Amino acid sequence: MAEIKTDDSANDSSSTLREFVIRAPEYCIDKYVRINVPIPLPEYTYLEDWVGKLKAQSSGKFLDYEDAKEALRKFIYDETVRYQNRRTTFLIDAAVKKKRELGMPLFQPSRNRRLVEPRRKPAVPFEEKFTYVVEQSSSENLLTLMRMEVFMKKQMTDMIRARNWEVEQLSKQCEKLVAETGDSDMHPHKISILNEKLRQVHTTYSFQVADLCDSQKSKYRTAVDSLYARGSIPAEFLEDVILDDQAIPRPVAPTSGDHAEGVNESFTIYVGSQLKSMHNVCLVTVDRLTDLCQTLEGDWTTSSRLEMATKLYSRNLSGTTLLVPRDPMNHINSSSDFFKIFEQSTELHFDNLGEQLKKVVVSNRTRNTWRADRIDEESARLISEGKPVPEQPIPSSALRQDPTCTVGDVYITRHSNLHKVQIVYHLVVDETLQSVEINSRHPCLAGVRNIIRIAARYNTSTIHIPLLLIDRPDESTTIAWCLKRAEMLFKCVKGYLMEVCSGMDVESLPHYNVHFVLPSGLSPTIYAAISHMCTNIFQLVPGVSS
Amino acid sequence: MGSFPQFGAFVLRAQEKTGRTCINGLPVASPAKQMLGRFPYLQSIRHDNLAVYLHFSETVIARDLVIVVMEHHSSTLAESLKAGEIEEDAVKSVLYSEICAAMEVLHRNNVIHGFLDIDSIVTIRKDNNDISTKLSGYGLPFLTNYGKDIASFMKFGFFLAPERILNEEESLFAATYQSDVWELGFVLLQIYLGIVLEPDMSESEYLEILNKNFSFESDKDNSVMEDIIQLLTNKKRLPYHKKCEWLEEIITKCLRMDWESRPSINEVIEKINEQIPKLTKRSIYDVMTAEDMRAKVKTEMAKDRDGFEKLSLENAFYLWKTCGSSPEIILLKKGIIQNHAPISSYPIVRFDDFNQVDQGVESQSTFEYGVFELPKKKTLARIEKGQKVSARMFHKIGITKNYDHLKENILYETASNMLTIDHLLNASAVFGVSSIVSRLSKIGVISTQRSDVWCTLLDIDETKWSTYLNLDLLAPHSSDRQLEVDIPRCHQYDSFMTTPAVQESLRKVLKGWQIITESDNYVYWQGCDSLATPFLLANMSKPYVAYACFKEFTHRYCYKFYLKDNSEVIKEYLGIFYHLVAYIDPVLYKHLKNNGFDAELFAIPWFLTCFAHELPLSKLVRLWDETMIHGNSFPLMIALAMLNRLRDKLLSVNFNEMIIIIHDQPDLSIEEIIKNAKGYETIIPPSCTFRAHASPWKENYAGDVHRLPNSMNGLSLGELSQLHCPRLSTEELLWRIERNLIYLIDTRKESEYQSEHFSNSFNHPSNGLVADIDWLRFLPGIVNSELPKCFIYEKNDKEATEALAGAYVMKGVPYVCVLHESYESIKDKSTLIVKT
Repeated sequence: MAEIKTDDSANDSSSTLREFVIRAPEYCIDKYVRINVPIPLPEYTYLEDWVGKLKAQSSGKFLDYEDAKEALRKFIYDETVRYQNRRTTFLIDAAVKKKRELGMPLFQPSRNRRLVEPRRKPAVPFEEKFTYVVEQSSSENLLTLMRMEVFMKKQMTDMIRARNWEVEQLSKQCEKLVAETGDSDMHPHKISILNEKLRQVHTTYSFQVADLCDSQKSKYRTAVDSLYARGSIPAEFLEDVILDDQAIPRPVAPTSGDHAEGVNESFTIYVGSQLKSMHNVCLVTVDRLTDLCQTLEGDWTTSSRLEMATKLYSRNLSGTTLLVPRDPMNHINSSSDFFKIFEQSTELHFDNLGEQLKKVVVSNRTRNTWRADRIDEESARLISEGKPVPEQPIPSSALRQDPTCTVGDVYITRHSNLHKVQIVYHLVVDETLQSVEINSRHPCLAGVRNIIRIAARYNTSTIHIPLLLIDRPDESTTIAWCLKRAEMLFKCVKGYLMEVCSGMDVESLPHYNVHFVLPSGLSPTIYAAISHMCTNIFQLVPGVSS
Repeated sequence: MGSFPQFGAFVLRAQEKTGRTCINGLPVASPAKQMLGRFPYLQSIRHDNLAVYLHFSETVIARDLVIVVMEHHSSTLAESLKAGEIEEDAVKSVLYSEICAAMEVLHRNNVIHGFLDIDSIVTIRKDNNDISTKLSGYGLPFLTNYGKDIASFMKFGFFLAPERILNEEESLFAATYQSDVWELGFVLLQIYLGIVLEPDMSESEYLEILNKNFSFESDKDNSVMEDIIQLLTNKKRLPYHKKCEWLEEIITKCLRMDWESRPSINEVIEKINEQIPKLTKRSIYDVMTAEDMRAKVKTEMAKDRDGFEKLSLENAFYLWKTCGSSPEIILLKKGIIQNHAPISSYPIVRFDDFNQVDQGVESQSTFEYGVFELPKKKTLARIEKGQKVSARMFHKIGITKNYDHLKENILYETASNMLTIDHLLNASAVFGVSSIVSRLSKIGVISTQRSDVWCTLLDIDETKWSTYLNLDLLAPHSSDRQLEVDIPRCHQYDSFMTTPAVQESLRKVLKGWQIITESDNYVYWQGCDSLATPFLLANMSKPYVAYACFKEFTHRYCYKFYLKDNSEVIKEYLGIFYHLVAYIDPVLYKHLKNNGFDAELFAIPWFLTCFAHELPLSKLVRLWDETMIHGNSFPLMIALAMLNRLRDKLLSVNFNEMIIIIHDQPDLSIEEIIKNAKGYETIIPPSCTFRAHASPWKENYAGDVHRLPNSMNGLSLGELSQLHCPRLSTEELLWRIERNLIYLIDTRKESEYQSEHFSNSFNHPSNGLVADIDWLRFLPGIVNSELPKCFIYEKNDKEATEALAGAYVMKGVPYVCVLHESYESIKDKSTLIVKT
């Protein structure tokens, strides 16, 4: 019944249109019914769809449905086989050619073909040992381990404080000297001696700090290993551990510990239209964004360390967002606030900040190289087509060497020695963000979206996001500006939350705590207006929030 | 527990995609989601010799893994061969036929096996000890888009087709119909020889043979069969081998090096059928006389099986899941999936559209490769609970004594309900839908059976979808752009709705529905997508059934709502809805009216989508299960129940807050809504729901009063809004008077009333027709009665009486209605009136 017209002109492996022809019943004016069918069938189209198309042709309705379907099925099958054969031939020709050129036998045992999922590493990673210890150790042992941490922190803080004291003394001497004479050129020799001293102090301490870090880290790991393997901590480790919780002296108290100023409210909200998931939204006010991860006096206790120990490898992480310049090494090079917090204690679980940032630099280079390649390819294409090549903001050769991030990028560091957060999202911003108006396509909002997506993907249920995307207010931070920026952030974050909650099963709906962080020092009107706006934009759960 | 089926699970690692946003700003379906969308098609392929796919899920805890569950049997063809179970020619013949038939079904459905070897074929001992086979692990090239959607490697058998070995990086990608034929050749060869080739023939020996035979130039018919037989003979592995010419010929052809020269599965199966008489499958009830039948039934009963053999695999798996676990949890507990701390695999940098460069980041989880049998001990322990479960008990025969005891066991109840519903569905074919609704309503619908139940209730058969199958759904259509916008936003919290496959099907269903209803002046309204979705999700591999259900459902419950100009239809519907609010809850009605809070403000999406826009799917389908066993005005009853649940809140606030409250439905208990809606249905006189634009479809399983004729006419929209209570039909009035199920309040003048009136009616005080609560209150029993209070009037007093009824409503009197015509025009009343 079916007559198949074939056309072998196409020999490559791309898909082709094939004409299916079927004889119409005698009484029809048209002798044949024809349709073109792409082979292989495009994804998500099925035989029935093509039969429908056939039947919808003029005279198609006179075809017997089942007969036409079977004829078309055979046609599609045969054509698909032909297509596959062509493709196989094409691929095999290439593979054979390559192997022959290399002088390899065509068929040889291949490791790739046998490769299955990598098995778990034979050695138990530290992470698992630590989790085991936290879950299984006696409370006494655990307390001892935490005391070790407390003690180590004290050691480190003391050392940093001593360094800072010495540096301060030397700086003062310098200043004094300059002040006495009123002219720094008067005692170039004395000043350079002092500067030399200052450098020495820094160098000496940096070695000492590094040494202490290493020894603490290895001690700590040995203790955990020992707890894991034998259920006890080697006695010699405990000798110098002071068993008094009050032993940690207070660092200089920050300006405002209590957040009496600004707004600090929490709401329970729904996200989604039909299936609603419940989340918490908080408004918090801080002086600096870094306050959110800063360990204050009294924070570093055995109980707070225990909390960190239980959360660190859990599926319930907390993260905070910092606004940073493009150069990741800036934290170290200009000794950022964040770095100062970090160096107060040894990072016992992860790489230290410097190492982590170096990885960011490597990533940046890879990515910038990739971008440079794309630019070069594009230019080459344009040149070959005889079109003008647009001027690049940065030449691709320079881009290749560029270790910095782009505005809107997010790089992430992991920490066990901060207060309450384990993850820090570094959102790369520039100065303009402090004053310009942004729309939803601004790269920094893409950055916020990425933060929420990463958080969702890696079980980070608590996140802090600077609502105005600024650290401190300045003269450009007007009421109108604040409200506009806040509205933009609220709405975007709401959309991002919906995005990460979609496609989940009812049983596995996530729950997020989103903290919107505001800077202190804004006018009370702004805080009130933002709080009001929050309740308007998010759908509050009635009865839970007042 | 012999006959409870076994389930096997295997894990795949889905590719994680960077660059995750479409042009329209919505997220791109991840590879895991794409696989999820393809799965129902694979699941729908059924054949006696194919192991059924049952379940596909993305893992929740281990983020990038997916789990596939399928029917499982513990012994493989390889094991049976090794155990020497396959030696007789008769046994072998069965296997040849079965395996080829199953392969033919796969290819017929456009699915490549890609994984065929003697380890992926399972063997089953039947009751009579015959060996039967099922193919498993098939269709992975289709599921994974030829391997592009997975990041884990697959472990293939030795004897892959040469072209797949040459393409070593992408073995799944290189799988074709013709490579299936090669691999089939190796299966047939091993059955034919009755041995397992490996390790008698090592991999390197196999590859050597391939190297020797591969050439572009040589004979197209060059086959490796000879060389293999030779190799084995040399090794003295074939001492008892009997040569079978025709079979060797088939295998030789299958094992041709040149893929184009291999026969198609069809040709293979034709050759085999020529030689082997086609297996005739005899049903156990394939008997001639009633006597034989009885005997058969008796022997079956005597076997005293446990009853599980009567459950479909889907139902059995549903039961398995009901024991409170999920495949993911089990695999985690058993250590098949190992999870690692998220912080350890945290990425370093993310930029642009979720791009990353740190590809080397370790995954959050690792897993063991292979198929794992899901334990079923616990499920069965819970089912049994100290009782021996038997087929008898499933049908609740002779177990009345222990009934209470069994009631505690939810699994047992569920299993029994499943069988009862199967039974009811079968019975409906003979006795009609009306015979099953009451029991169906009592049992409730289980998700695995929903498609069948809905089709039965909606009376869906081939005739309802044949038009759809004859449409060109691939051609562009005027609504394409709107669908492009709506579909990716439709019920996106549901995993399946985020998959391209299901979205594509939804597009076709909606398009087909539009093409067909265009001639009735129907158009696509936003919301149609939400309404069609539940039908599609119940019939994912059969969009034409979804279409038929959708069309029938809208015909019944959303009649004319999708007219190009639907304002009159909708306004009538809303008007009647508010009349019913006045009837049921006059206090709320007054409050809403006084605040100007009209039904237009909130109820349009309720009715237009039959609540599909408002409720999450899990609740919606429960509501629809119930809707479909009720009449075309049931959505009105649901709306009353929805409103009632917010009653106290609404009464305490004014307009602005009402708007917010009315859309707040998250903690809605659907069972309570259903219960109340059913309650309203019993209280509200059916003729009060009369609409000129009501669906002509009428259920025929409700009580008498629902089936009365109705002589009412529709009201203009103006008249509707003047009225503050529903109207009753004369037919229902008379029906109720006969049964004393009504309070009749006659507003005619006393003199006329005295001369003739309905028995048991009350004459309203002739005070110029002012509402008189004190008079009304003292009518016998009226305060606590839920019976309608119907006002009847003389021709000239129509408006005055309607106003009077309205006045009573505003004074908070419930169950008030007016007769749709005047006293004078009532026909056939003579037997019910008292004359003086």
